[in-house]
Amino acid sequence: MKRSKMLVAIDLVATTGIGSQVIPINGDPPRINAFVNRSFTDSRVNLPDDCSGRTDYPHKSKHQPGRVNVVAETVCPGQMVEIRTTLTRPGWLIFTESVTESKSGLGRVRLSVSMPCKWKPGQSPIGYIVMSVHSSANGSRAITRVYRSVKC
Amino acid sequence: MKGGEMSVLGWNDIPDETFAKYEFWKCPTWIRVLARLPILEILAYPLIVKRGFATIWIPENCFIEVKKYESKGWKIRVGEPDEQERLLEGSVAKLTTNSTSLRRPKIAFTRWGRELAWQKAVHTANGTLDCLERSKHS
Repeated sequence: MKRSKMLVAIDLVATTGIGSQVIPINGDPPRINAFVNRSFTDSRVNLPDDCSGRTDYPHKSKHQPGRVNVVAETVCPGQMVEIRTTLTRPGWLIFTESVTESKSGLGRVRLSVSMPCKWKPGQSPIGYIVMSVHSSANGSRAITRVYRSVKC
Repeated sequence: MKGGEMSVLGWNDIPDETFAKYEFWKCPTWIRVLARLPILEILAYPLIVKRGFATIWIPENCFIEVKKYESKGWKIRVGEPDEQERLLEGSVAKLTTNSTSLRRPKIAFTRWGRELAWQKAVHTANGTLDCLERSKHS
């Protein structure tokens, strides 16, 4: 390449600022682009926004009549996740009743917690509190909570 | 009325299988104050319903006399609140490494007071308290 053509090429690279990413001088893969692409496409790398936890509303169980049931879920694709859910029927002092269950798994765990009904015809609906702690292997965590009155 | 129990509009009159949601932040201030007063709180709920700030959510495949409830002021919707609403109420959350341990709220003596306190505690632990505060004014 003649000296004048080489100068024009260097000038183009300098003014556009794209040289180091588009044309690897030493033949190595462009690292920044590789990292960005991997973040969005490789299933083993997850953005924090992918991970969520939810606690559904407690309701009368259709599969197990006479029980109040709630389902909770933690989702974090490609990572070990854990969920711990407590279903509570509040009462005075020692009369509070609660059931706690936990489960762990890869990517998605779904947990169902239930307890026997106590409601009798003529009573007001009974309030149930459900609280779940969702966590993933990378140390991220969230808490979800629901309160709902059910005739159960 | 059922079995001697007195039914109070907005307090305990909703049908089985459904649940109610109240838009307290859209109500006039004096109703919100009433809802935070122990014992007298029960008077706030019929006002919230009559002014159209209360919704009954009906699950799919569940049937109720819609007109009966609409005539009292209830809004009727089928399904469940959307993700955004559930995020605000605290039943859905994004996992974050910035979360802190949950601090149990102080004792509250009204139904709404308790829910507000717990909602705030959950959002504080999840690091999303600012979203909750913004939603009150939107």
